[in-house]
Amino acid sequence: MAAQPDGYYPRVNAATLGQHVDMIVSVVGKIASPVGSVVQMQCADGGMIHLSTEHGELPIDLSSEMVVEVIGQVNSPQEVALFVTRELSTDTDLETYNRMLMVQAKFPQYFAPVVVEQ
Amino acid sequence: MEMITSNAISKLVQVAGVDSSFSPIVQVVSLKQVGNSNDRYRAVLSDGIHFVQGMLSKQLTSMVHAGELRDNSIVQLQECLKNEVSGRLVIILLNLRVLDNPGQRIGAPIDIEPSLKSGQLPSAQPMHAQPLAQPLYNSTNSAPMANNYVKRENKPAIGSPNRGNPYGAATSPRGDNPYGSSTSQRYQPPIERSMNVDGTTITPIAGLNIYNSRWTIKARLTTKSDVRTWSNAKGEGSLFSIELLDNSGVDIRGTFFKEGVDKFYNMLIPGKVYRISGGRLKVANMQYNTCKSSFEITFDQNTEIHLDDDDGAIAAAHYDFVKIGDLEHVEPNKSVDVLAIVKSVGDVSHIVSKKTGQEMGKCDLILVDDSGTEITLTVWREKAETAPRDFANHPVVAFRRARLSEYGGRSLSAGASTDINPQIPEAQQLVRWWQTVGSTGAATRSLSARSGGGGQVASLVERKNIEAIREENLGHINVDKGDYIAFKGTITFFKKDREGGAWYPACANAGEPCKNRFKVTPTTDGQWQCDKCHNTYGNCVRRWIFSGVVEDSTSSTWVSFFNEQAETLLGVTADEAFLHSHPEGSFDQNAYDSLYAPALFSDWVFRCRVKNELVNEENRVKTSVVGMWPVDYLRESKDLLAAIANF
Repeated sequence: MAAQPDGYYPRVNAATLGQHVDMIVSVVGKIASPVGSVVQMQCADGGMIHLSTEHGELPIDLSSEMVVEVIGQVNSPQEVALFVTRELSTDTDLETYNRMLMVQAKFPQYFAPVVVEQ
Repeated sequence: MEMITSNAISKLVQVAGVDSSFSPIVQVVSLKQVGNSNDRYRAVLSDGIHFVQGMLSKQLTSMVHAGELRDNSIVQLQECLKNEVSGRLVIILLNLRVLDNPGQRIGAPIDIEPSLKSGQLPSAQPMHAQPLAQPLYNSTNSAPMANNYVKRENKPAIGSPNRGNPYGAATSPRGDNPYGSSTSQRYQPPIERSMNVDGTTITPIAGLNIYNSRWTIKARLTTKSDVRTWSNAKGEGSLFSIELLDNSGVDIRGTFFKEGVDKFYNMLIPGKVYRISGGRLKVANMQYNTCKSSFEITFDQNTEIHLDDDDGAIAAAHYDFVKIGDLEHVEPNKSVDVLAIVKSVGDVSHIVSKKTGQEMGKCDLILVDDSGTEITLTVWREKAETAPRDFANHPVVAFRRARLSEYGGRSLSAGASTDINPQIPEAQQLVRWWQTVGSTGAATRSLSARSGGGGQVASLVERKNIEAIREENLGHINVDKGDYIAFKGTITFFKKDREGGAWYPACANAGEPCKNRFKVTPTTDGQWQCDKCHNTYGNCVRRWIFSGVVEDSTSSTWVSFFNEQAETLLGVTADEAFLHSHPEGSFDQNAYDSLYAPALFSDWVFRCRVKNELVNEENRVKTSVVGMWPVDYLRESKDLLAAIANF
């Protein structure tokens, strides 16, 4: 595992997943296929990724319209091993979220983790 | 260095104002301010041999102020007139071009006057040639150059002998010599006669004055108001007013009453050029009159108006447009010209005018221009009734002399004229802007977001932060009404624990004069006594009043919450809160506190009035909430993203 400051989960999209392999990330999107052992998720930028449920579970009765946030570890540029999920809402505006991610990429100095000296 | 036209002066004194093709090059050998005002300058013109007195017309003073025209400037005269003041010839300079500034006087010119007077120069001046015509006034002024208003008792009879003259105003012969130095402290422009047109002398509007009732002007009708009727103790009548502009660059307002309305209203078409004479001049009422002239005309039964040909000499109505974004910095009650797209048209409503007691229609338009700012403009009366139709489909409109008011921050009231889809280049530009940028609904700032509670929530663009209250010295700018500010903040504290709760008992009388607002005092027998309507009631209406602290990332401030905002904030009326906190008749602190808990640390967009008040002989700036809206996070996000993108 790369040295990742505690509690810092970079927000990623399908496109930027590859830059964070082995890191724990936060992905926001909709779950696009029935719950099983490998799940498809559509990210805010429209790209599709796989979620592996070996370490964590998706909530039951998850509506396909519900936007969720997934925290997990990136196995590969296409797959995230899910740890925990959080339901946001069905009317979360993914377009606005996506634009926010692009702003974050543009100003990394504001969105990088602040490491507190112990 | 340009060559000075030889014998320029001797030729000029003969043909000035008549032969407009003569544009000699001369030197201004002396430039001096006249009197106390700094926009009247006397210039002595020389061709190296002779000199003659000249006066700069007002439009040229900027050249002097800019330093472009100065002593010893070599200039080419493009347009001038001739006049006589106290027996001396004066050349009025309307237009000239500065060619050079050599810094020294050329030659040793001598005054041309003596040659003039002695007749050594051919006196081919049309003014002299003109017949003296009938004596204008009852006084026996036989001297051709008499100043006939010099003595007070020579007040010209208004409407006096005009007969036999098709143009009403005289073929103003010499008798009309205006301003001698004896009547005016300040040097007034002696422009009285200019071009001879068909034997009638046309007076430039700049030269009209109240001492001269015989004038003919040739001007373009720039504005025609609607007909208005009035009725008061003295009777009733109708009127309409117009504004006229001629090539002296000065415009003037005139009003027609009663029969004048019937006679002229329909024939006058804005944009056309008319020859007009007959009417009384009086000093302009600057409160309503925004024209350049110091005078205004009251047209009367002697008024004659004839359509004239438009030779293009007179400018079309010209506008001095101000961008909506700049209106914030314009003083209220000033009149401005605005060119804007009508973003939306409100409903037509009717109010009773306080002044006339009559019902009057009004309609609010929201205007936007390429400064990205919006403002509300109200049209009245007939224009309001037809507004939904006239202003549909986002037309570009030029508003002339709209009055800027402080209402709701800044708003406009339609003025003299409204030109929908004006054929001017700026209009086309604005339409293009609207089609590409404006209509996409990008966040615009509104100067007119209304102050009283309701109205649109302040958008990101118009909000400031709490520190701005201190930074911008709010509360001290508009001392009477207070300054307004909108910001987003979090409530961090409620001062709710004063005696009796955070409310006051108000009169149960919902009608006048109390309207449920005035404080009532409890009587000994459990009733409520109102000092305003002098009644006693068995119950009272409680209204919220308390203060709290709002913070944002920059600063914090105390604010006062009144009834409407508190109800929004806490979700209950004060009466309901009272009941809730007295579950068994006595006060329950926990129940009371629980009312406030959900609101603590909540985020809102606030609109506040900041006012400097005298409290116990001390000046304190007090901030009270006039409107508050929950934060719409989605909209905020979008606005922030847009703002970042524009960064």
